Amino acid sequence: MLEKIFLLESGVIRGLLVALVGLAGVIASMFGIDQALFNAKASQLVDALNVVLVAGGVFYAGWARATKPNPPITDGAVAKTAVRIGVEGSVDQGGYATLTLLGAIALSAAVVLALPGCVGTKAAYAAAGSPDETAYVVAEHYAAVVGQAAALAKDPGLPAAVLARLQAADRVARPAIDALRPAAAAYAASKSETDRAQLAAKVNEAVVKLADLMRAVKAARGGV
Amino acid sequence: MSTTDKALSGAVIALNASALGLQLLGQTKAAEGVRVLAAALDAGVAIDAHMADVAAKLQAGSVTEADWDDVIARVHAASDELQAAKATG
Repeated sequence: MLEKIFLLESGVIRGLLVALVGLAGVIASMFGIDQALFNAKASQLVDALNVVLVAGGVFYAGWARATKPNPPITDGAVAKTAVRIGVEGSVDQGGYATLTLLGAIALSAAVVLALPGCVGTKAAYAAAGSPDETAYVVAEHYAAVVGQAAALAKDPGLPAAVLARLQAADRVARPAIDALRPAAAAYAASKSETDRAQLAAKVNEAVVKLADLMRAVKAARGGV
Repeated sequence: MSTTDKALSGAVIALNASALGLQLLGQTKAAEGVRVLAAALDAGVAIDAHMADVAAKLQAGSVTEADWDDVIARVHAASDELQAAKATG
């Protein structure tokens, strides 16, 4: 006869509760509560402590689930476990979250979180008050992306074809990025329609090349 | 660090923790998949944080020659580093 254990006797639940405390701290931090209570340095330490609590709690829960006995903690789980014991002798285990489900949850969470993830990028382009400032924002965007491409290129496991694609995208894009500054300077000096049109063409060309490099970086990251 | 950046950083930590959990359960392929997802999200966070700094700079004042010198130098340095990389994989 299976017997359930008290909720807090479960190592998994204990680990998740610790993670929950850390998560509550992270959420409070998002609303600036830690900054209101502590000075900047202490606030950073509190953030770090919260992250350690979340990571430690999740790690412990995973470790406990993987290595310790997992008795049921509710009457419903007792009943279902008893049924499982009766039928699982010769069949695959079931009744648990499948990898597909976990993958779908992780992917959904990442997509939902990534949607507002370009807030800073949108803000930068929106903050550009003139065509020459837009050119500068494109150059900054390129600097960030090519920096990541260079970091990826250091990975010894990166396939040669993927590295070649990154290098080719950068080789094509760099002249377009270099052309932004003189075009922006010419427009800033003259404010003429001709120079504005020429700068707009240079910006468009640079953005297309930047998008090519971003696709190459994305492909490289998926292949690493 | 903005609220969005903090939320995204939290998501990266959660994904890496999930990957670790999957690894402990012996699901190495799934763990690797989640780890790739975390790395991609982490890279997006870094770029977005950089662009948020650019937005703040533009809101504080106009672009100077020194700003252009700086960004072009960073582009050239990273580009040179990328072009110098040799495939070993």
